[in-house]
Amino acid sequence: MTTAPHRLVEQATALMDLKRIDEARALLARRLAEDPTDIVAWLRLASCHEEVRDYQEVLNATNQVLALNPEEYGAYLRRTYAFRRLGRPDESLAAAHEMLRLEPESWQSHVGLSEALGAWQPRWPEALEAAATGVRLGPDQIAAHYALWKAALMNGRVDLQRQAVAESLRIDPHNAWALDQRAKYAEMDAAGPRLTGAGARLSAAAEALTDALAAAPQAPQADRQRKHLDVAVFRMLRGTRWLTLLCLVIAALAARVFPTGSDPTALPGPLATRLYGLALMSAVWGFGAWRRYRGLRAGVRMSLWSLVRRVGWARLVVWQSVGCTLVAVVVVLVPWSERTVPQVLFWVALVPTLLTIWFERAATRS
Amino acid sequence: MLDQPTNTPAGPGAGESPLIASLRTAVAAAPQDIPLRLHLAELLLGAGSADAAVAEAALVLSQAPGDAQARALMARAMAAPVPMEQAPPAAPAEQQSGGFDWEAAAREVGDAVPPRFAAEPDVKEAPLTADGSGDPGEAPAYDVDAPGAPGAVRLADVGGMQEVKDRLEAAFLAPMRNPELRKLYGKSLRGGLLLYGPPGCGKTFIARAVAGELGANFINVSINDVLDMWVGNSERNMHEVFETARRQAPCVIFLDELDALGAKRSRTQHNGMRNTVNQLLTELDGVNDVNDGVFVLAATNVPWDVDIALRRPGRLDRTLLVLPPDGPAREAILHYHLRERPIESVDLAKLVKATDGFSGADLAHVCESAAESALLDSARTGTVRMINTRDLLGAAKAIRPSTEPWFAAARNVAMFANEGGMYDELLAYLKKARKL
Repeated sequence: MTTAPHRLVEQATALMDLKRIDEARALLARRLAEDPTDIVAWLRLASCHEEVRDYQEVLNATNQVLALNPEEYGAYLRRTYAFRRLGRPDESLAAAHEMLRLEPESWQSHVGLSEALGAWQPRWPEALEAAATGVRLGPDQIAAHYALWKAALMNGRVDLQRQAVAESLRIDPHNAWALDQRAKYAEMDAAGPRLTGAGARLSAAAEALTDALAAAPQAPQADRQRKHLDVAVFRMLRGTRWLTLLCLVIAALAARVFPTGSDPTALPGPLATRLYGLALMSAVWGFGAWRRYRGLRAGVRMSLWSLVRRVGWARLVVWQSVGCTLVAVVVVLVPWSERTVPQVLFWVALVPTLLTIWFERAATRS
Repeated sequence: MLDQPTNTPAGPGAGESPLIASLRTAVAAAPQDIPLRLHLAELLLGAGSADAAVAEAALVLSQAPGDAQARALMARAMAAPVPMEQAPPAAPAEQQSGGFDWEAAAREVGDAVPPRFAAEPDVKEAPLTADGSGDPGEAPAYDVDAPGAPGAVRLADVGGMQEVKDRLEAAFLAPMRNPELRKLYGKSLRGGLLLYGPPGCGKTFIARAVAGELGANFINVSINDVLDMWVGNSERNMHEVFETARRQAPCVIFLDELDALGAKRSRTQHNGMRNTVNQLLTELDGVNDVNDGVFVLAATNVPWDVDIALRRPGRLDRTLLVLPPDGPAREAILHYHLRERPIESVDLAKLVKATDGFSGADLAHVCESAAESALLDSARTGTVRMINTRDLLGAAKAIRPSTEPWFAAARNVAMFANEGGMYDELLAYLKKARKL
């Protein structure tokens, strides 16, 4: 026969939900002072201790439970994890087996077994199998998907890891852990050496990071996420220099800065050609930067400006992009009668920018 | 050395009564005897030697910091240069020449008890408690505080924070005070306002002040009442709170720690909590204008953990950011916390500047730390000294504003979770304060 938990235990459970662990513990202590045989109160107290990572106390509380009822499933559940965290794998596995004996069809039993098996590297495939069974029995339990993700991580199964994260987000689109993982995968995708589509992947990574930050703004990983967001945004900002160099080349060609073509001496270049060059430069900036910037989420855009304000190197990138583009505009608009000045302008704009790009790449590689 | 009684500028014994002189001898013989020293201090104060009384009380406090009698005596002695204020009207010149030289005495005591502040502030209003420490107490959910009850506060009692007051006036108070205009514009007499901001910055106090300003009854639903609601008949309990408010209209229901009462339902495992939120939504919506005259104020440090449904139009649709106290508020808070402490020539303007971003609770901590530093110094040197600007500035420098972690999280929310512009005000502040 199941009886409803005592009022104080109910209140403590609610407080635990709100992560007010100390207050919950105080209420449970009051309840246990009244009635030391309240198994639910002991189990909740064990959960409180687990929440604050006091695993020895988890064992103490569950010892009390098992003294009252040696067949209490919840006690074995807590002990499986506590023993594992305390580096006592054999006892953890024994507790997991007890869980399986008591409730073989519970997803938690298999997830617990997966956790216990994770202590031995040769048994990692078994852990993966147990986690997969846990997911099969509890397809809507994020904890089961988390166990699968963890076992997949140990077994190097990236496909299963991503699947577990996607399933978790299906169940709870605001789950902080899953959003954090999704952001990591997006960053990994953006970090690859592929030449095409880097901008889109960076935007995706930045947006995944903003989702994770919005879901858990106070989480311990928020600082790391902010740093990674800064990196993604900086890489996007850095990309504008390629656009500006492209503009510089267009301007040089349109203004005939270098003696190429059939009539190398004809200066200034025809106005129509130079205006065409200017239009091309506008298109490069419009499609390559402005359109992409407008498509970014407000949070990513704000991060960009925040980075420019905080980081000197980001400001340098902006100034280089602006400076090079201005040089390109001057080169293409002024009707030069000789090549020396536009050539000097061209090299002055090009060389420092290329050097900075090379320096950054070298710094990143090291 | 603590054992040595502190000499006053006038010097002990000069013009003292025989009783005081003999007590001085007794105290010198038994320097650890606190009651004896306090008795001496009482007599000195009674005899008009406020400075000497301060010195004796300070010695007692250095031995027993928590001694209530000594603190009270110190406060009385420091409160005013009593002998001067209670002195008889100025005597004719011919009398002065032959009798007691009042001016000389004033000069002497004036030196002994220096001005409390370098520049006396213009603050005339009652000491504010915009620090959040002015907690409304543990009023149970169904206790209704009547308007004008003892201890009722008004917005004028909140020092500084003019922007918050202006926004409250515009968004909340003015429509309530002007029934004609309200009718003209078809504004119903109901509403909800969510106060949010870093902890310890006076949200609870402001809620009380709004109730005082409206002349409305006040029901405070605290976290303990909320806990009771979670179990058993949570729906009925919540309904009863609103029914009580409707019967007592105009009435302000104040939901403190809304993140607990209105936690995101998707995040909570506990059925009781979900039911409470559902019931709260039902009560806020009301039907047939049953909520006319019922204002719901709520406060939270973590608005991002509040169920989004609670912030929809007609519910807690207006939000007000309560930031750490501004300059005038900090000045008033510091004034309040220093009111019973022995201080000399404190440069409040400098201190106010050094405590930018501090919450009310931080400011209280600064005063406490400065007092501790002065006390330790007095104990070490054996010479009692007042709390000065240096102590306070040192304490302010050593303390980091407790609001910083809140702003770190709030920045993430304002930048990345500002759908619907709920955090526009916060964003504007962060931009202005260069905290983005």
